[in-house]
Amino acid sequence: MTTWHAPEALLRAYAAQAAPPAAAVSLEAHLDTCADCRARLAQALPAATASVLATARAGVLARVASEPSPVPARRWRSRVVRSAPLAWLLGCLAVLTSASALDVGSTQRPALVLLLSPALPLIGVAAAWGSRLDPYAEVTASTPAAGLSLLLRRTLTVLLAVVPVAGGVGLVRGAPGPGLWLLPCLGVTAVALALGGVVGLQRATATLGAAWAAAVVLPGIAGTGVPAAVTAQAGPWWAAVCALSLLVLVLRRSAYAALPR
Amino acid sequence: MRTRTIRPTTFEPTAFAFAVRAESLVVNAGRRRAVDGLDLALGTGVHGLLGPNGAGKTTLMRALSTVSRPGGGALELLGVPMSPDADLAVVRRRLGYLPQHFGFHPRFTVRELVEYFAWLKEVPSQRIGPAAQRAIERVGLADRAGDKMKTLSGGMVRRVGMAQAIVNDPDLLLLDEPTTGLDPEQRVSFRELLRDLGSDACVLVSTHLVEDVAASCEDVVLMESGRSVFAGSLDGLLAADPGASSGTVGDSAVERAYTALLRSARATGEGA
Repeated sequence: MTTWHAPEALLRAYAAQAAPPAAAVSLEAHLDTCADCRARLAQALPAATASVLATARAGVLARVASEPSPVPARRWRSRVVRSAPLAWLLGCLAVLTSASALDVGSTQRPALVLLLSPALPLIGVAAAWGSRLDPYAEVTASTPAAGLSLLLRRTLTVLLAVVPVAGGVGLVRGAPGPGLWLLPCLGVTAVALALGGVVGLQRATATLGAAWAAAVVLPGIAGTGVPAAVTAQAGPWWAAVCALSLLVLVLRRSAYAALPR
Repeated sequence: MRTRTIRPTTFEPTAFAFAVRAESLVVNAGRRRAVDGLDLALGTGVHGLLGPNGAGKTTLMRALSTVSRPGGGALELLGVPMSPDADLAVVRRRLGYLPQHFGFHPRFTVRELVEYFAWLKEVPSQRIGPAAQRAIERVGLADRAGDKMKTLSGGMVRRVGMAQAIVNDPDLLLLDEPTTGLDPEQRVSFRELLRDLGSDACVLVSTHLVEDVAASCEDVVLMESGRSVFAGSLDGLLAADPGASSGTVGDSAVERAYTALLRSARATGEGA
């Protein structure tokens, strides 16, 4: 730090706008770093200048006080999760709870929770990209965040919401553990994303949902035994389906760069 | 009071002559060829995109905003050719887009919404708060920043849409019918904002309100049936005004010129 301070005469000359230009520039450079000299300059100001500055300061402060302060609104992260999917999450919970209620005392057929859980994320995934339900789909598609990474992030949000719910309901009601339905759940979701790159996400999820209902849920309810898709033997197949779908998805990621026509 | 921010990019030499350059551009809307062989070259400034309903304005806007892919021809945005393997993120970071229909989640506040879009546009996280605040102030909604979207009027929602479009200080700003729902006073301040934005960015404003164009645009592109039938300065457009006594529909010189150009384009189209 410097030990030099502006002489009183220079400060007074500067305050009266009478300092030589070179000395004024050098003084301003010093004032930037020296609070003491700034305070002394304030003392040396003519009354008229001081009152103009005071008025300006009061005006600025009043203006700042009259406007709402910019709150750092970090809450939107949770709002994004909350706003659309909350209703959907409650819906999933209702479906699973009623399914498990129907499961009580029924040993003839496989648990409904087991039959329904793998297809539940489809409803959320359908809204993840380019959906008419998403009011921002159009603008979102014009942002740099759009594309495969955003789709995967949203899909993960859906899975993080539905898997604990399904697991929790299963646990409370004593339905089959996640070992049987978790892999099919991931597999169906991955196929939806891969197929969505070809025919559009909404069409892909609708088709898969219908196929799941026809091939697994209906036979399961009809009592023809546990459908092969949700048995322990199907596990390795579902793992293969997941891997293959993700490969297709990455290779065809440009399908999610723009909205389908 | 008007404020200007000077960004480092302001002083960088641009590597392109036009922010938007299209040659024989074709864009499909569903099965319909809504933009059909359009040529366009737009630089810095405010450009008005005029045309009757169904002329292909919105389809063109969607292609320029990278939301839909061109079906043919050449398109270059901010110097980047829009080939199938183009890195869209580079262009999208410098893009602002207000679509014709801008919906909202009712429980978002204005600030949350604008900050959400700043995040989607990859504004650095420490800049998101100040950038959103500035965008909200520029559209004149500072006093409603903490209010939920469902409490806003239609014109205010439109201005929030405008705020999200400018939150990343875009070099290419595409506004599809931005003045819908604005009252006359808001339209005047909106035009002022447009002129300010147009001083260092390419702004394309699609509208069917001829007086908006007359008040705030330096250049005009007139579209009819997916093609550009006129592109040039506002004075160039006015030169097509056949005069008040000619019997052409329209109260103002711009309206008469608009009608005259459309009629002659249609006559040529039928003759061809």
